[in-house]
Amino acid sequence: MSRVRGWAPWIVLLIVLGVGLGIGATPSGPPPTVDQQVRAIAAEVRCPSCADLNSAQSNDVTAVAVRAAIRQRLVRGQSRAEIEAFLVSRYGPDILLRPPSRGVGGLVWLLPVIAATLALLVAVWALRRWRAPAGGDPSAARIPDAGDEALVRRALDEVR
Amino acid sequence: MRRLVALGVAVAVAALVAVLATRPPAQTAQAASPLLGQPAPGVHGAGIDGRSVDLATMRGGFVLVNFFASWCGPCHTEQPALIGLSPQVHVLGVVFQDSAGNALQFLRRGGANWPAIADPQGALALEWGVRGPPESYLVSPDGTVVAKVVGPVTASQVDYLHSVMSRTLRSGQ
Repeated sequence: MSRVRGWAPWIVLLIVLGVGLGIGATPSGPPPTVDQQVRAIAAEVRCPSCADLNSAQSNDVTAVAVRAAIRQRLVRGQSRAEIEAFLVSRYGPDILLRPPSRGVGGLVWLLPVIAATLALLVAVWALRRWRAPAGGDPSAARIPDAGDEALVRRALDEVR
Repeated sequence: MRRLVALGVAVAVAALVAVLATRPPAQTAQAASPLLGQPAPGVHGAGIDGRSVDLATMRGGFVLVNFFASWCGPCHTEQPALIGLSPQVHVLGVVFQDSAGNALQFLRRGGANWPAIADPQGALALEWGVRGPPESYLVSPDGTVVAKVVGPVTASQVDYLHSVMSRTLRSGQ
């Protein structure tokens, strides 16, 4: 029962986090306009002919052409995935600023999760080890026994 | 334990070096393109000299679709090599971010008389996946993109294009 009580704050925290993420991920308000959709997609597409800019930021002809193609295809009813697939079919996967979630590119998404999980496990393990010295029960370590008292006495005698 | 960690790190670093060392350099002239092996995107419309231009009507022979501009230094460099490619290869120019007048003057001054088309909105550059001039795409007689050259077409690129043409003809494309 006490173990369950110990976990209760964590369970509440997880529920609050889940509900918060759910609310945050749910779109609210009117659907985005074509202009907003063009901007959102273009922001994830590298400007083909300029360094370090996305196609929403640049006014280079190639970036303008990317925005025009996105608009044209949105009006035709294509989805974001279809538009991105078209751009990849012309420039290759590196035209997208967001790495793909499949294949080798998927490692970019997977590795941080693995690293964070490992770091958390190591932190928990280190914390438990630090709090519970060899012998098991951490509360037992706080009460000095006769052996400890004898050790302290000997040490004090040596100092004197 | 420490030795094991050091060994793991060494193996990871070695693997990374091996992967990076075996990748083609970014500035490779014979570039990869998702268009290779695919049907060539259409190029048609009024040419900058008034002649009608249509890539589809040029089927039956090899065509080099060349994206160029008068302000582009390497485009000047490659012009003699492009002229030398004919009559085996027909060249079709696409003007990249330049005025039709400047582009036409550039071609004629260099002795080039191949057709060229303007692309003021960059739509053709997008269809072909062009990032900047000069870029050239070799289209086989059946309309398939068989090679891409990024940067100026030099003597070594001409050899490369000839080898691709021989291979393409052998494979019956």
